[in-house]
Amino acid sequence: MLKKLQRAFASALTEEKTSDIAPLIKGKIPAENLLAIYRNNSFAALTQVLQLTYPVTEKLVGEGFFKYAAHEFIQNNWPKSGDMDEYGENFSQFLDRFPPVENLPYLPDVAKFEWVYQQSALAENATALAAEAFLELKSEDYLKIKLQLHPTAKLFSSKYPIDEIWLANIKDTGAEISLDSGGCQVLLLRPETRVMLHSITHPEYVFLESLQAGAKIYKAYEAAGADFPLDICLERHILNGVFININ
Amino acid sequence: MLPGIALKHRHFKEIKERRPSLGFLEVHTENFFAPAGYAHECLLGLREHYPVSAHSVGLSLGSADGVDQNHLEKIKKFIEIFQPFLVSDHLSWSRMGEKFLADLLPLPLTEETLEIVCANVEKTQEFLGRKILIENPSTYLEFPESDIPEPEFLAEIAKITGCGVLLDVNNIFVSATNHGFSGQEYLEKISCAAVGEIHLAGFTRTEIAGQEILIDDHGSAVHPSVWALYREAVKKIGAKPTLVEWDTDVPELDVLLAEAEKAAEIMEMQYA
Repeated sequence: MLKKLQRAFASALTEEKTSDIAPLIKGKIPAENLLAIYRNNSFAALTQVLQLTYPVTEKLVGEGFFKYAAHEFIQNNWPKSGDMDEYGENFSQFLDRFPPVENLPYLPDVAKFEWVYQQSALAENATALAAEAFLELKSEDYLKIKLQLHPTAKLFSSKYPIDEIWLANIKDTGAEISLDSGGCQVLLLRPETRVMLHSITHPEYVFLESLQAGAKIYKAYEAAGADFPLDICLERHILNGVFININ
Repeated sequence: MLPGIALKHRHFKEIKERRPSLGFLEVHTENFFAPAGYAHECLLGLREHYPVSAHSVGLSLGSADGVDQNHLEKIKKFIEIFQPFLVSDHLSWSRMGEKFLADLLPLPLTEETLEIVCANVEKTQEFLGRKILIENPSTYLEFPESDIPEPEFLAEIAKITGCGVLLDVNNIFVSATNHGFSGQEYLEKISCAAVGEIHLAGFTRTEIAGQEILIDDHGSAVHPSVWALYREAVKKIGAKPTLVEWDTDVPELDVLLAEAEKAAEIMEMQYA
């Protein structure tokens, strides 16, 4: 009985189908209005989760429009668990197919960046390898060695200058950004409590992405292209604290 | 124990710096599921100075589907890391199949529901290896099939499972006003020995279909009628760890501290 009632109640919230549950409830006001209170509470709570994850996306479209978009998103994307850190991953894909924001082609990538940012902000802590740990490393070892990336190291790329758009809005700099200024590749890393952004080249992105996928150094180097300055790149990211293990 | 306040993000730094005199800090357990990060670090620092209470909103103890093992594991992890002195959730449900509905939904208070809630509470307590508290929720509707009054329903769960009750005085007032029963009579029926914590918060009034409905939004100061009910509750059951919650339109820390101070004065008066 309770299961049936909960299924009917859930339908009233998620599909606005109130016919099964309405006869089973009572209150001061009509059943539709009573159920609308709970429906509003659910949508408000989930909208707030999205607002916390996507502050710049909200800023770009304004609070009112963001809430409308969130409502449309929530209707077809209910959380699968009570862990709200997991909620909203596919918001950028939703925006990508959401006709009202067609004229903002960079918007889905802004949302994608904010999701990646959150993944870095909440990932587990780890201690980066100090530069000394690499002193023994010879180039002939590159064929058989893998480097494990820091759990907070996340990679992002876009054909739009999303990092600039994000920084200008999160810091409220008022900077004018030209969409024609080109794309970006970003390495996000949280050495302590703050997420740091490192602008990287496309070959660097491919190199780090390959390492992250478990490739040996030499394979990652091959993937990055023949002109890739391997030693400079390795040194830079060793100093950034990107690696936590040599395997 | 002095009253505590709900720990909000905007107050992390100020509490760390000022270290106000508070009995404890309460957090929504779900906000600290991530294994690290800024909030995690802040709470690790603050727990050196204050007892922490873990109040969750996502266990769905009233689900006919049972409790989510994954969610339980995350709460257990929280307990291992932050060592809370209280662990609580609500007499409500929020999950149906694959969907989490993100609200504290009401339950028909029947023998069947009692059995389901007790099984879920037992499973939770067994897995966490400790006692939990269950809070009376604010409700906006009732089920005609309910045949056990809420205070008795909570007392029964406590008797059967050994759990405690988290008495939310604001929720009593909100539900009493919405359904036309007396908050005082509700207090008469609670199991005093089971109460392990008291919650206080603000509500909002709204008019729907020509009727005034109170909504538990935790977005304002505690209402004078709720303070009056709190005074009676303390007189009846004695001083219990008391929390001031404020979750929307969170004000300056001093506003919360002043509310906690009011609760402290009421607790002290019982012993004067």
